[in-house]
Amino acid sequence: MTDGVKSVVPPTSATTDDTARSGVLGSRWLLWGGSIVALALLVWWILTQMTATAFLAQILNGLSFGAVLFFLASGFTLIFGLMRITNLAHGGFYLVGGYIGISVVRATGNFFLAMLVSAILIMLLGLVTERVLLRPIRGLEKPEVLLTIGLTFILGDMSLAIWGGDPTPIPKPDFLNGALNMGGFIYPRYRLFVIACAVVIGAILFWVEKKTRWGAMVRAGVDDRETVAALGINIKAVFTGAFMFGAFLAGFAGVIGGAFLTLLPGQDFEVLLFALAVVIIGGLGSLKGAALGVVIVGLIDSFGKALIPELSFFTLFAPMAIILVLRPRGLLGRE
Amino acid sequence: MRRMRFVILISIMALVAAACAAPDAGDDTTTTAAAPATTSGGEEATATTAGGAETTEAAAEGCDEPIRIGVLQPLTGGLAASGTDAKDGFELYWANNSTEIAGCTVEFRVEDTGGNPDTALQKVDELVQNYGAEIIVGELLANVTFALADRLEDNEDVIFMSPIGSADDMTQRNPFPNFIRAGGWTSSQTSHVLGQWAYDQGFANVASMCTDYAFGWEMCGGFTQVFSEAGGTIAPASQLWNPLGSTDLGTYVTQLSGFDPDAVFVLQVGASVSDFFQNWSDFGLKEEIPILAGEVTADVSNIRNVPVEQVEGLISSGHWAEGREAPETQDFVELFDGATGRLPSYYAAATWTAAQYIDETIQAMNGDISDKAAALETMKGLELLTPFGPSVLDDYGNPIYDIYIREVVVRDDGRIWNVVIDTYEDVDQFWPKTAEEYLQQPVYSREFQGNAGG
Amino acid sequence: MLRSISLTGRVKLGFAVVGIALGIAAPYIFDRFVIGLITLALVGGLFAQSIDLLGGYAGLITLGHAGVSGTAAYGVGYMAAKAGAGFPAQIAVGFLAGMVAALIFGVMAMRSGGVYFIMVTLAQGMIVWGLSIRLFRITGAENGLTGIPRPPGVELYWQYYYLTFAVVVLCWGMLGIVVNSPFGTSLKGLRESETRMRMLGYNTTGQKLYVFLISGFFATVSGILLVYLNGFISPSTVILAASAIGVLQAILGGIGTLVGPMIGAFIIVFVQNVVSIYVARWPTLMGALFVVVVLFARRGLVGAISDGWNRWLNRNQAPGINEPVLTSTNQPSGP
Repeated sequence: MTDGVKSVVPPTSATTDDTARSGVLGSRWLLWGGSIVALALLVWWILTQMTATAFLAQILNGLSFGAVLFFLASGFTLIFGLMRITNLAHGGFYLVGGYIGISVVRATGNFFLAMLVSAILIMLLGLVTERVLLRPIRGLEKPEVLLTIGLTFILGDMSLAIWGGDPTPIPKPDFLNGALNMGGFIYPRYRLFVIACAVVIGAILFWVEKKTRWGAMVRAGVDDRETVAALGINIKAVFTGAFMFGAFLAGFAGVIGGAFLTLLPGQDFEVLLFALAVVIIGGLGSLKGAALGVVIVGLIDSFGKALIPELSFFTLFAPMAIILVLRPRGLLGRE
Repeated sequence: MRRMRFVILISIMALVAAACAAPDAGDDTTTTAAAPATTSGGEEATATTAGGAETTEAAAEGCDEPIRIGVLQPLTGGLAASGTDAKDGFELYWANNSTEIAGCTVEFRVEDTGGNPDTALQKVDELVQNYGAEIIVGELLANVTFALADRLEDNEDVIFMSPIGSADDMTQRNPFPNFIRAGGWTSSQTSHVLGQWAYDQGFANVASMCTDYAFGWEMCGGFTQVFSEAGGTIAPASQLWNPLGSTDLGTYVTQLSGFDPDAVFVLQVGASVSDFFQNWSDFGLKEEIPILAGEVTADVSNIRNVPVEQVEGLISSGHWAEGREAPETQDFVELFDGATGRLPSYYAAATWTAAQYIDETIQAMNGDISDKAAALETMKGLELLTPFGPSVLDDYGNPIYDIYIREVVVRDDGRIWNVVIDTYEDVDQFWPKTAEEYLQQPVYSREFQGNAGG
Repeated sequence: MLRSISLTGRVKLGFAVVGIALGIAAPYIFDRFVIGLITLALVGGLFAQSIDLLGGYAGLITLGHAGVSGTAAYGVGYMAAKAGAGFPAQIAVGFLAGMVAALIFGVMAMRSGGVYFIMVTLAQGMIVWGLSIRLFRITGAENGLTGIPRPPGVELYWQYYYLTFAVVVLCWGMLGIVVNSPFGTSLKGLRESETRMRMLGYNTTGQKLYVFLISGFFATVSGILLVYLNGFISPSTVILAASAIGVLQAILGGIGTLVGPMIGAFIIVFVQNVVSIYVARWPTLMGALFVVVVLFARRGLVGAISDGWNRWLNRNQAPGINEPVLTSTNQPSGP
């Protein structure tokens, strides 16, 4: 692979990666064509294994689980794309957000108020984290890892001290309990609600990214931080804003996910793992990648459990490893 | 170069050091005089003789050394709630019973394992060697329990009690000599009974959904074998296994409804319990298909925070039923509720009962438990009335209890608990078979569930 | 300048002599519990050093290394508990298993870098963990394997301590030789800029595989030491947290040095096993420790000490810049 590179002297080195990799994968057409054929065969095989109704239900199961991950993954990927911070405290934000949600629901009985309060409090936590803890070590990858894991330990253990360790689901509002009967197809209302939330928020995020000044700054920041700073934009403020927004989404995810997946100490690391899988498969730093990642991870998770339950330990991580071996930067990640 | 030389120097010195040090100390061992750990007398060869001599002496004079008990439970991490219940149950017993027994003082120390076998092994050394614990009351996780039992196996000065860790083989095919399950249970013991009860209720075709690890295999196997041998059907294809700690059980619930069973046997732990009931009720199945739950799945510690309407009426079997009316149960429930504000889980009842066994054993032996083999025999001979009900131990050191069929009902104060709707008396770990018959079959696993196809 | 190096060298030598003397004397000073902890810390330290060789020297952080050491440990455990083989066969199989795992891991991961390398190794570690739970007949699943006696001659705790001490010191020496060799120097180049190394004609992919295998060798040794120390192996040994703790130990002590991971291991073992006896909320304490170390000693404890030492040496000059141990250059750079 590197043999031909020796003679290349000019420092346009990043492109050598591209040529090397496209050589391994063959042409783009072959890749897309092959994927579509493989997907069609897979769907056909799955349909021989289960009824159409079950197939639809499993698709929705996968998408609703993916939807919870989307709130986490989009914030995570935004923070990484802009600041190159692997924020491992994101799972901790999720867990504390969920527990705050429980307290609010218990006190007021209002689920939507809980979402708002959690998201805002976690956003403030994000503000403090970014300003006080992360800013002094900007750009130092390993200290960032240690610091964000340390923060997760603290958040998790403090949650245990405050809220206790019993598995606790967040009570849902009544109209989201139970199943919706859609012409004989019965499906839980709450899961449909979660999918709808993800679609709405995803649409807003894409719109913000493409159409607003804020989105333009973020996109520019992802592409070339130095130039953005040179243009007189306060890149530090953009960083802080992005980090707070990521935390806001994590707090929101805590309440949405807590009503769905149950809160328990240790879940901070579990959801973090899923969110990591999503952004890695999709491609770090890309919102589109996160969206693609949640769909893939959600569907792999649900069909993996249903079709090859013996291997459901591997259904997430084996594809993740394979994708990374073939495309070391994820599916939509830029080289 | 300098650093390299330096490094080589270190390695050489280390080799020399190791080579010299070991034989020296090895020679000392034979004379038991100057073995390295002179400060604690903790070296294996000397500990037995020295410790033995000390206690015999103490017994002659009464009891000038307290009897020390070490308790190991996970108090941090994902199992913290259960571990804390276990700790509270044990502490509550000694807060309500005298620690002065037959002229001896009982002391105990509770330590956190974090659910990690490495840590548990270090701490058990600390408890035995430094604290001087004569009895270790063990962990709730099966792998940690195995690790501890293995470590303590050769230590004749320690009794290892496991009131919660319930791996079948520890009192069946792979028993440890100084291991006793006073206050404990084996995983399949309670679900055997549920299999019979389910058949008697007229359920013919049952599916199962259990967590995919040893505890799940044993709980599920107990149910499956007795139910199918009684005449029911539980096809291997309708037995679902979800990995431990799976997030989102929706997929499995969708599949279960596809089997169209008369009932479903469910064994989930931790967060998966409320995850399951949430999905079961959200998919509209609660009114359609009855659930038969394994003991832990319906334990108050797992369903305390689940919305009442999702679990009300849930049927399960168990050696523990906090809603059992007998005074020995209700007295304990009221004490525990008063002290902690929670209804006690079986973890709490188990460690309370273990403490009760310790108390009675010390009394029966008049304060001298230095002979651990004799203490184990004494313990096995006790007939106690515990919060679980009447309890005796079988030859393997596992309790014979009344096993209850339980139903989740709402109390007057709005909380939920398990009340007894049926009782199977004097059930041992092999029920309904004999020990000889039972021990010929392998331990339950995914491959061996005891049903026709498995 | 020369004088200062030789002074530093003399101080280091002094510490090494004191350390070795203490190590030899330890069983005569401390009781069994403390010796057990030291043995555990030495094994953990060796494991952290093997991670540090990848992370600190080559800039490749792994979150799946417990998969390598754990595979070795399972190899020993299977031969001892299930196959009933003798000690030479146990150790040979354990060694082979660990090295094969390292080879597979290395081949899969060698094309990645930076955060993607972390994720590939994480996925690999999760797959090993999944296998340890799934392959019931080999691994005993969740319950693990018990009844793994120590080889004759090192059965007693202090004998085993001396064995561990000797092996760890020997491995430390070997690691020292590796990092000071031309290959070790080229690893630092890999850490600073993979592209530049490739332009200089290095086969960086091959380099990564070699360093993974070397690191895997030491991880294998630590896995074999651990399984005989505990006499027990279960999935807890290969879980993600076990890999992560190794990384944290290295960063905490000072990544990019050999003494740092060892110090980090001693501290974390101390917090987990001793502090936790007296402090119920010890995970919070540990998290706080990570945060404080990052904020006040970015290069870990060893980095802080050597900075202080150098400041003292150069107290008349401007604060000198030492070898940059922590850099952020393994992030994806530029467009």
